[in-house]
Amino acid sequence: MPRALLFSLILFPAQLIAQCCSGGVPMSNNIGLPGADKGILQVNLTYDWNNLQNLKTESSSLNDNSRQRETHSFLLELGYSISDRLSIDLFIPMIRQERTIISTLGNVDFDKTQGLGDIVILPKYSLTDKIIIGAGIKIPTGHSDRTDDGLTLVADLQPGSGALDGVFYFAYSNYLTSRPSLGYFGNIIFRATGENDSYLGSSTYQFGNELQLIAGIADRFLVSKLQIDPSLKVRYREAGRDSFDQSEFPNSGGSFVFINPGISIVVSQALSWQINTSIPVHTFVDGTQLAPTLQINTGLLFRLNLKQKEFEL
Amino acid sequence: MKYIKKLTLLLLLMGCNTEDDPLTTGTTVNSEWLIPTSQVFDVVGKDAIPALENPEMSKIDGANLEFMDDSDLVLVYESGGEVRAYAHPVLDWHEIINDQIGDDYVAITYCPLTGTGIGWGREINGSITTFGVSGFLYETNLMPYDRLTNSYWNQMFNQCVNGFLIRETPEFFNLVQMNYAALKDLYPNALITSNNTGHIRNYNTYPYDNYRTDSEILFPISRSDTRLHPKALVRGVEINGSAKAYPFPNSNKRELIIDEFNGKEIIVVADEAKGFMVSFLNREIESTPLVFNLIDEENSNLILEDQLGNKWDLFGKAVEGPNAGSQLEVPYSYIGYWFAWATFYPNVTLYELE
Repeated sequence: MPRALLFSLILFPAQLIAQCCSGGVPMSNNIGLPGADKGILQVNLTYDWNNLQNLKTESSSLNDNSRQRETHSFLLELGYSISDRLSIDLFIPMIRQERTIISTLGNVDFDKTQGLGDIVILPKYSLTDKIIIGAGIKIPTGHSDRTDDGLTLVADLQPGSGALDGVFYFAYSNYLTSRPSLGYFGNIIFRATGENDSYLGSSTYQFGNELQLIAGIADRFLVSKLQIDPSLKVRYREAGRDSFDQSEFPNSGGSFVFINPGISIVVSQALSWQINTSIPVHTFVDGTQLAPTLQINTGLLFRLNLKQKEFEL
Repeated sequence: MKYIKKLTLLLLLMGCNTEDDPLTTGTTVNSEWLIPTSQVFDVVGKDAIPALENPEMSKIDGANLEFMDDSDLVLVYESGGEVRAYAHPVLDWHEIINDQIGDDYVAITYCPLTGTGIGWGREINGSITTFGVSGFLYETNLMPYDRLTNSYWNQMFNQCVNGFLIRETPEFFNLVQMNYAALKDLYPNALITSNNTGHIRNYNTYPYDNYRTDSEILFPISRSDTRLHPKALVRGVEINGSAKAYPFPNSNKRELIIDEFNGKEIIVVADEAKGFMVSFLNREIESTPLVFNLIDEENSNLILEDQLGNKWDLFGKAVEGPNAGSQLEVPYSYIGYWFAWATFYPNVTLYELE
């Protein structure tokens, strides 16, 4: 199985930057583009919709649908292979955070923020054909002081975190020798969060560290000359508690397990389209929080050989 | 390279849509605020914390009260002989209860972050309104909004601070805070909020971890005062814009404090075991200033006796004696965390315990 295909299986619904309730977005579902040969520029354009509508206390649903959080993310991820082993990814998000509350009397309160999110730079190195490691940073380019009607909104409604984070990445992929088109893979992504030291003026806020463990399988089928790659992933995500002025912030953090079915259609060597969903199957939030309900992600991946002057899509 | 140019253009278009929206740039709907908006934060959004309207009340030890522990605090309101208790474990999740007792339209406003429970009249300029939770905090204190005009109020500022009703002040309704065990002893016929609120919440769990006892404050405040632990409960009394705070005496028995503040004689009765501390202004009856002695009876809501033979209850009403039916004036006062009183009243005087 070609290395590019193997690692393309690792491409996940993306939300690198937007911060949300800890059941929500934070980062790096899909950090890390597929591996590619030297001179290849990969451009991944993605739209991601993340919906949180399930109010929970720990793992119990409160059957309260009065609150909804939606995050719309437009993501541009650029990956360039400096050599066959060394590459660098640049992740630029545009984030729109929405909050809708329907009161018991039926009144609707809607707030939103939007803007550039935090940019991630992630150098990666292929240890072998099967293993990629990476370490990078998330730069606080996104606003973390957006207001609504002149009043500053809290951290999880901001497009940026206001903090410099460290990002660590590990990817493994392999395939069955008995069926080379069937690949299996695993990811470990860890974000060591920094501190926003100008939160709501002069306070500090720090999102909890975040760990994601991902495992999945994917296969390839030919349908009318179209290459179709269905995939199924299991994703475990654990978010630590946030802190405010160095003290733990109640009702933040939790652990989640998602099932991510997806499909990718390879239009040509230079273009593929993918769509993924993320369905929570286990949620445990600290205290009471809105928890993820559904996430849908779709995007186009372009692979451009900069050594050639024209590209065939 | 033409495709790279197209991609770049697409990205720029996406960017153009996001930065110039006036909704994200901080325009103010009602420009005038009585409080600095730099200290007002939109934390959870309007009605994310659902206020209650005329909630179901249970008899003491009645149905749907399994979540109550004897040590849980309640806010008690008395009108026309009817006593209703509003439980902190319910208020922690709802913060405002709009209720009607007889002809009294009252909003029980409670801020878990400042520990302050204050009764507000719901009749404003001749109209009956209800209050909801705006989701804003000022100095980490509750900001209700009224549903008739959508004006924003601040609980401890005790005023409408933005909107159509700006500068209006709600009528003050005296609430007596005590623990559930004391309520059962002192007001066995009281009604109390049950967990049948119409909302599913974990009422037997306090939603803010160790906040009631630790030193942390969850949102920025503009000043701090270290004379007491930030979460020490005090009864603050405001007289002509100045405040004095009375901490619970370091005693397991009922205590009477007679104090002078801003030209007024303040009567304070505190019973830490029962969780109550009440305050009154002294008065004269037939030109005779009253002299009070403490009544310390375990299961009686009578707390004071004067030289005329009157016995006064927790709400300051003479219920026995020659002047039965008389009422002691309750100054603008309520129990809250020390840090909150010190924040809202920077020159607050702290009563020195002996």
